[in-house]
Amino acid sequence: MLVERLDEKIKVRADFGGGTVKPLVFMRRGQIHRVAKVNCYWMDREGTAKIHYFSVTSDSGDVYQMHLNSDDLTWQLDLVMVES
Amino acid sequence: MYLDIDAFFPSVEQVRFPHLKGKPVVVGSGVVASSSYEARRRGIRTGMPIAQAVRICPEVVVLKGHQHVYAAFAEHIFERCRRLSPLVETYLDEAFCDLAGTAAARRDPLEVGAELRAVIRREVGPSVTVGFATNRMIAKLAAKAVKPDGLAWVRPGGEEAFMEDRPVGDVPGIGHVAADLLRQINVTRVGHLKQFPPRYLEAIFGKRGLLIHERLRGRDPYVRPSFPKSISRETSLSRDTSDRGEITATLYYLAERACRAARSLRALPASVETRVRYGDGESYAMRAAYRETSVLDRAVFRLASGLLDRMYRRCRVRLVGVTLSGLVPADCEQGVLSRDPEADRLTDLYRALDSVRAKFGHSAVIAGRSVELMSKLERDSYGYVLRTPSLTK
Repeated sequence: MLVERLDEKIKVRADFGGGTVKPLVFMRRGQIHRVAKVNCYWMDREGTAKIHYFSVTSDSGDVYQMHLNSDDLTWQLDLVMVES
Repeated sequence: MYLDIDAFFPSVEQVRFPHLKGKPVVVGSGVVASSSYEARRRGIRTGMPIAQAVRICPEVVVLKGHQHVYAAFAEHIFERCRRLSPLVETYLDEAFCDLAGTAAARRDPLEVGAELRAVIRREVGPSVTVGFATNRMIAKLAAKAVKPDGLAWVRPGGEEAFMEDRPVGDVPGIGHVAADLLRQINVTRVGHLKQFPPRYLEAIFGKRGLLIHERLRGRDPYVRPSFPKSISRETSLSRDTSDRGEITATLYYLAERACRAARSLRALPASVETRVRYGDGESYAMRAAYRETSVLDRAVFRLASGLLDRMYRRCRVRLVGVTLSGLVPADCEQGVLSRDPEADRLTDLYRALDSVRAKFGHSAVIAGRSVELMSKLERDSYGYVLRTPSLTK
């Protein structure tokens, strides 16, 4: 198992229906990854901003952790975990 | 209702990273802070050195703790408990929930518990064990009997019968030493100890004897204290060290955390205790009372480091800790005729620091001696990542 820290800004297409956020697709380095499964969600705070964290499994089988900052509405990819 | 999150830290990691499901996982750095059930089946235990855990089970996955992630997960889980009752008392990985007078109390507890477990599993992820009973002690013991991923209910009137077969060590107030002593005279189950008249229990357990007499019969006259008696912060160091700078900086950081907790409760301590454990396993603790009570980081640290100096040995240090004890509400403080203006200025300063840290996390401001830890420890928004999250009170 290998966990790599990324800290990359990404573009995400997400579903904001029903008072929840669900990332559907994200673009990293020009490549599109579909979210096959949202493994879990948790929330933290940074000052006034709410940080919504997601652990997702992409269609390639890799597990990513990403977050949405509620203040500036930016998405960031925190890390990727691949099975070695 | 009692709720316990099964193998808390590893199960959060297994939810975050599904590849880890079914694998032995331990969380900790240096020593095992928490292990998954798969790791426990392989003989890994909390407090065991990581190197030994890897020797026992070479395929074990070792992860560092992420305190802020665990706190967020716990809060999500406790939030589901608050949907059942407003009276929820929470700890690191467990919660007591008073359902009396709520709609849930009129329903079948097993149904309520099953729904709650399903909601937590679906919406948050980790598995939990839930116990129901007429008092908190029985609810916790019932849950303990069906861990992990279990659900139990001790029906009203069945408390005494339920206790009968429990090991004596399960009764709150009977520690390892007392349980071992009782075992030597062949008293292993609650049913055996129950035969002892109250005066015998008082002879064995002292003042707690009568309380234990009640608990052996499934009665728990526990009353939640309205105010904590003490606030304690301690941690093992990343490795045994004789570096006075690192030891002092850690002590400052712990004093800072304890003071911040005390200020948030508007509590004033009557005394400060410093604990130290050396690499050879010897532990020492000393306490000093205040001449004029204070909850300022600087004043507490001055007292705590003075105590540390008095316990100093030429030996590497493994663990340090600070306890603020004899807490009283700040409103009950006896008035002082001539206040030190410097103390008032510092009070305002720490109040400002507290509000910044409440908003941006403890790491937003690094103060005093703890600056020295910046080059030695990782930080997250919660603060420095100490060696063993679960051992860090």
